[in-house]
Order: sequence, then C-alpha cells, then structure tokens
Amino acid sequence: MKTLNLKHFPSFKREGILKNLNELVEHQKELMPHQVAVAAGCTLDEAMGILMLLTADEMAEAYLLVYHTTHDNSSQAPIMARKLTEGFPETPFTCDDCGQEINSTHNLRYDFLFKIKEDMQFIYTSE
Amino acid sequence: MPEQDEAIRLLNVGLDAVLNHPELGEKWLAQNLPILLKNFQVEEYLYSPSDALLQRIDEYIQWCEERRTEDAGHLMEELALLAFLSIKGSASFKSFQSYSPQIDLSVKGSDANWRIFCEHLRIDWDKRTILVEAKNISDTVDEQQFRRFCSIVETMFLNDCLVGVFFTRYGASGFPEETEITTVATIRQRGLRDAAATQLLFHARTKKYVIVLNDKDIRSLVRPGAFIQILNRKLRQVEEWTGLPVSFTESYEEVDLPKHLKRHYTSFAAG
Repeated sequence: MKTLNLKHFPSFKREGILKNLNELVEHQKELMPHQVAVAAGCTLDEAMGILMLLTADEMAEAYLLVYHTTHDNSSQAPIMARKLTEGFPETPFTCDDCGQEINSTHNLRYDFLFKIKEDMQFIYTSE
Repeated sequence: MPEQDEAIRLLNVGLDAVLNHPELGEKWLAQNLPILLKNFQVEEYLYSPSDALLQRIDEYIQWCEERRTEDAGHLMEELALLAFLSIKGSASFKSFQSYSPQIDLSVKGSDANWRIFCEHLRIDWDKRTILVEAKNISDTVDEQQFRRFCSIVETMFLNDCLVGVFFTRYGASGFPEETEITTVATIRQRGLRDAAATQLLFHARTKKYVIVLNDKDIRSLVRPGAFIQILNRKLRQVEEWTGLPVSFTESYEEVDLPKHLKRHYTSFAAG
C-alpha cells in the first residue's frame, strides 16, 4: 500500500487527526478539501495541501468543480467537472443544466475534487 | 463554495505544499505548473492594481504632460511601492539609506502567493527579496547609476536578493528603443553598450538580474496581471538577449524569426 508522509504538516503529529484522515480515505475515494478539513480536524489550507500532494505523487486525480449559482440552491450539483489543468472555463458558455448563457464569472463558484486512484495510507514520521 | 479568487488562493496553497516537497512533486510541477498558472489566470489574480496605484498612475501621466510641481522622485517611489503592494503575498517593505543619498526599497513575501510569484518568475525562494530603485530623472539611467545599483544587489544583498528593478521614465542607456518603424530587421540593436552591456555582464558574472521599467511599462500597470507579465518578460530578456525592445501590449505575441522561417509560422497561425 502506498503511503504519504505528512511530515510538513505539524497538525498531523497528533495521532487522533492522522487516524481520522486514514479512516476517511479508507472509505471515501472522492474527496474535497472542506470534507477532509472537517473529518480530519485540520485547516482548509492543510487539507488542500495534502490533496495536492496526493495528486503530485500520482495517487489522485484532481478536478475543478464549477457551480452555477442562479440554479435552485437545493440541487448544489456542479454543472461541470474539469481536469484541474484545464483551469477555469472560458466565458461565454451555455450552462448545460439551465440553458442560460453565462457571460461572466459573477454567477460561478468553484470547488476542488480529488479522486483517489489506489488504496493508500497517510503516515507521519519526522525523517 | 469559493469564488474565483478564493479558488486560486487555495490552488496556490496546494502548489506551495507541492513545492515544499521537491522529491515528490518535481516532475509533476515541471509538467503542470505552467499550464495551471495560465489556465487559472494566476497572473491576473496575483497582480491587481489597487485604487491608490491607479490614481497615482493617472497623476503620473498628468505630471508627464503638465510638468507639475510634485516631487518627481517621490512620485516614482510611490508608484514603485504601490505596484509591489498590489502583488498578493508581498508583505515586507523596507526602505534604507545606503552609503549614497539614494533611498532604496526592498520587497519580500513569505506566503503561498509569493511562493507562486517567485516560482513563476523563476526567482529562487532563498533569494526572494526584490530590490527596487526609483529614478524619475529627465534622461535615461546612465551606466554609472546602473552599475551602482548592480553593486547593491550583489554586495549588500548577497544571499537574499536575485532581482533588482529600476522604475524609470526614460529607461536606461544602451537599451533598444521602440520606434515607429515596425520592421524587426531595422529596429534590432546588434551591439551592446552602456547600461545594457552592464546588465548582461552583471548577469553573466553573478546570475543576478537588474531590469528596467520605463514610462510605457508604468502606464501598462493599470491592467491586472500586467506587472507580473512585464517583470517576467524583462527577466527572460536578460537570458535571451535579442536586441529588440521589450514591449508589452495586451495582444502580445512574440515571433522573432528570420524571414525564411517566419513565412511558415504565418501560414501555420493562419490555420
């Protein structure tokens, strides 16, 4: 099983946090930064850092989720998921969900999704 | 859910984490960092001119036209400071009195945004202090003044600074100038002299950079991303001297090819 050493994230020196994070990745193969932050009890920035490290080590694939905020708020589903390297969608484009022409980023919101490619475990060793 | 700026901020935080793990992310960064910076419009995020800078640029333009009584040197110093303040991540600003009457400015940052700024401009992280000198004089910066600044960048900031930036009105001596003539063959400067020669010799000897912004560059600073693009292109020009002026326009396209090659590029670009 591949491992990722979180030695540059001092918060994870505490066993409880590391355990929470490993339990999360054992059961969830699609992770978002805020989800990791809440489950592990770390900051959003730390969560993003960890997930990007997984991506750089080719243990995860990263995506940018795009949301159209004029939709009915109860749906909360992204209108597109782009590979991270594709970046922001160029405007104007047509929303596939509601058919509206989107001319600016004003009504767009974003989040990141990371798909874990294989079973893995986080560790913390200082060396 | 985050808006665009917050999404870029988070991305920069993630990239900073990867940069801190070169043993793990070096190959991935080499493949993906340039395209990420481009497709996430990171330049526009990192540099967004503040209202104060926009106002001062406007006042500078009026000063150029009307020759107001405002202190020329102070005006240029303020422009320099405000331009760097408009870069996200710039945090430490120091002004000091060197052994001559000139007051200089040093700029430095420590967070993920400054890290990405340095990475994009290929500035070593341990030499991330940028030294700034403002010269609002009625002529080009001469070779002696240029050499003096090089000396400060080299000796007084030996281990901390890789890049020095002149803010000037008329540039420095010996640099190619933009003219109305558009033919590359006509405007290409084939010889090196004065401050331009010093710039390249200094870089060859120390691997450090001293670059010069002029009036046209300053007026371009009104656009998001412009300052970073200008700095990047002027740094690259030190490494890839072409004898052509480094100009900056919104629709900039760098095609510096001899005629027998350019015709292929032209037909390729035409599709």
